[in-house]
Amino acid sequence: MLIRMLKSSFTRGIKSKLLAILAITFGASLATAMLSVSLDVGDKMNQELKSYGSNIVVVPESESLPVEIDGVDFNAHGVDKDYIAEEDVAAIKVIFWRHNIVNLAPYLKASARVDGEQIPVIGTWFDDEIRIPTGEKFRFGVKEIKSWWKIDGSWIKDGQNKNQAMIGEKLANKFDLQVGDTINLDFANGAEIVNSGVKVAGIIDSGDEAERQIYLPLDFLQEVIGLEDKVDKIEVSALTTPVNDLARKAQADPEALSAEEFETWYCTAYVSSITFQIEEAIPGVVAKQVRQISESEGKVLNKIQLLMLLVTIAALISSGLGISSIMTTKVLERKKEIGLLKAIGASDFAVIALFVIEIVVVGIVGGGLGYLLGIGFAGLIGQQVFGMAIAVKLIVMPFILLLASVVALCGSISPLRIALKLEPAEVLHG
Amino acid sequence: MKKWKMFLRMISQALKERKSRVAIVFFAIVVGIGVISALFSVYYDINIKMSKELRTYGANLALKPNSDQAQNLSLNELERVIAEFSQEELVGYRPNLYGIAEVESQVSVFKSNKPVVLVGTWFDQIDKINPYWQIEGELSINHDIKDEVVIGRDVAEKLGYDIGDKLKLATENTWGSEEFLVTAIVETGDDADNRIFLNLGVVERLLAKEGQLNTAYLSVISKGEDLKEKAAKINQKLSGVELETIQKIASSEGKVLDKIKSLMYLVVMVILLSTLLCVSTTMMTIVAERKEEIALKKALGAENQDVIIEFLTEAIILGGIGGLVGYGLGFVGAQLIGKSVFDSAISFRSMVMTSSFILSIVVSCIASTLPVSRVVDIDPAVTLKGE
Repeated sequence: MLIRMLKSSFTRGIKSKLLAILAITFGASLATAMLSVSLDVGDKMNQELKSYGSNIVVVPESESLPVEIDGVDFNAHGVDKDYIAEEDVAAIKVIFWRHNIVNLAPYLKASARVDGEQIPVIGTWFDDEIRIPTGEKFRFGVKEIKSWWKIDGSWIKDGQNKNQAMIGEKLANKFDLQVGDTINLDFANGAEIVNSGVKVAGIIDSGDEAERQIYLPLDFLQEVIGLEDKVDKIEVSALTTPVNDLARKAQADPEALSAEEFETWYCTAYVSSITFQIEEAIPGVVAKQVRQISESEGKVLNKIQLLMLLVTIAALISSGLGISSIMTTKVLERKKEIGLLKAIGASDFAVIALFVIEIVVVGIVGGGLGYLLGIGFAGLIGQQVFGMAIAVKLIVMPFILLLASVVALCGSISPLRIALKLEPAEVLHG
Repeated sequence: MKKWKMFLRMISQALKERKSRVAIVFFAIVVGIGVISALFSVYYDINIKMSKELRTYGANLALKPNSDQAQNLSLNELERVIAEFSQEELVGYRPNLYGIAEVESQVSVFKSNKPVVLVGTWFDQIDKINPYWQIEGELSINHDIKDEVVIGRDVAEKLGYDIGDKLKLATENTWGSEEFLVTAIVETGDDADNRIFLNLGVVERLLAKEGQLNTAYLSVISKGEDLKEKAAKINQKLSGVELETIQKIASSEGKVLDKIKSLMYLVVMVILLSTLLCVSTTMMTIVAERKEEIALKKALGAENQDVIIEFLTEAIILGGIGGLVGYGLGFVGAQLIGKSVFDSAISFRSMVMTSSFILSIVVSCIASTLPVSRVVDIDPAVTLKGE
């Protein structure tokens, strides 16, 4: 009998339920969209913040202090420099948090004589395809890491054409060089002077010391100055989790952690655990976090996540009230029906059971439709803002179905109570 | 006149008699408009607020001599540039004077002198220009302190100094070495780790470069794009020195601000749309319920137009009051968000208030006239047959 009543209520009364389902759909879609965006915004913004450049720098362990001002070396007596082997660079991409390593670039610094003047020269990867020890290939280099560089001309690709260079804008103005011109560099290789002409592929407008430097393909520079397979700095851009108390404790002294804490720390993508793992992977290096980037990144991410959380709460309130107010009116509308049911002998319990099942069905149908619509909204936001889809978390679906039906029930409680209290005769007098 | 009075009575009766329904609609409008106006208030403030937050990345402008010649910048020129910025825009500025000093290494058995980059600066500006520095110990805020030194982490480790130690340093212009007390160690992950810092006045004396500077860093709230233009405008008034945007920070900031702004925009739009649809479906149900009332009015001789005007007036009253109350609630909500996320108040904008008020009225009018216009042509006899 109950089933028959439900059936007829959904077939014959479907018109009056449509509005309720529609309202629940809108409410649930709002909740779904906001929850999905809010759960994913940390990851998405983290990637956007990568445009500030690398947050980790790896240098060889060394006794000596660099004496540099604005990229110019003032160390009079050529101190024995320490180096990192270039073949070790790719090892950074096989640490525990390898998937969080977004990009990296090695550097080798030297100087060359141009028209009798010493100019800092840097060898690096620009946009090179690198094979890591697992056999996978990635494109690494300064092109992505220094996203703020504006290039007149073009980037050097894969360092194939060795006699190419990218030069800073200030240098280009000084020596009156254009893209396509050739510049003569004198390198010191031991006691020998090597002269080499390179073609200017691009001119760098960067707003920092790179404007006074010359960038060459790494292999080429290593060859001319006789430092094969050597680099002296690696910049790493990694996705990290904002620092918390555990990370601070670990950073102060990893030894002080208990075994359990150590495991949690090691298996969370804190910048300090990533630097720790890099030091494990490459012998004889120090991996430092660039606090300007890593600290600020954490702060900004926390702000954005908090903002989105509060906005999501506002959206949930709005959708919850939307759903419950429509249910209240819908139940109030059916006072007469309740009176009639009671007049022909239905117990309060039977009426409640009938309504609860109906409401839950309406809630779930509306919630399901709303979930689908909400995913659409979230996808739209993701595409528009970040140029990629928002990751849909499955956990959101049961939550939305539950939210829709529970809120719909909550909205129906008080009108149902009022309707049940009324005398059938009073309601049905007409 | 009489008709007017009757109309008023009908409206007030309609609102009074149907208390629970009116309450539901009112509630839906208040909450809906509240959420929408709160989010709009936050949205219009997000640029300036996030721009302030992004200052945690530090300086975005640098003042430098514009040629490679050894010509230096003077403090006066810095002051002139600073005067171009308003109090609210300028977070801080930090002058730097560089030099090389010899510092005795405490690590090796044979005591030897090592060259170290020496920086003269103002320590009170460090938490504004370099808020990301990790500082162990106390920075001497007072510009006049002459005998204290702050050292980078690598200097501390490689030369063997700790807080409280005496550090001797000599430059080309000093006779012998002078002693300073190490009061703080900074850890930064960049060049500053290899440097030692003294008050600007002290370094001027040590290097015999009174009133001179190498660079000055400025942190300016940019609100998006206009920083480069602003720098270019100031540069026209300067000679010998140049105000450069630090593109690494400034250009990324523009990108990130754009992202946040468009994210908030879309989110607010989705919420606006869903909330309005929710509110209007609720209103539509409630009006559709009043079929019998409409039929009765028509049976008593009311024209379609009269019915519609009556319902519209009701909707305007409900929407107007609901919109105002909702805006009030929303403004409080916006302050809560502002306080907890940005630790500052969200500013009042009359534009948001007016538009949420109008939005509220428009939505309630549309939501109530749609169902009314559908049922207004009904035959009273059919609808009322049961009564």
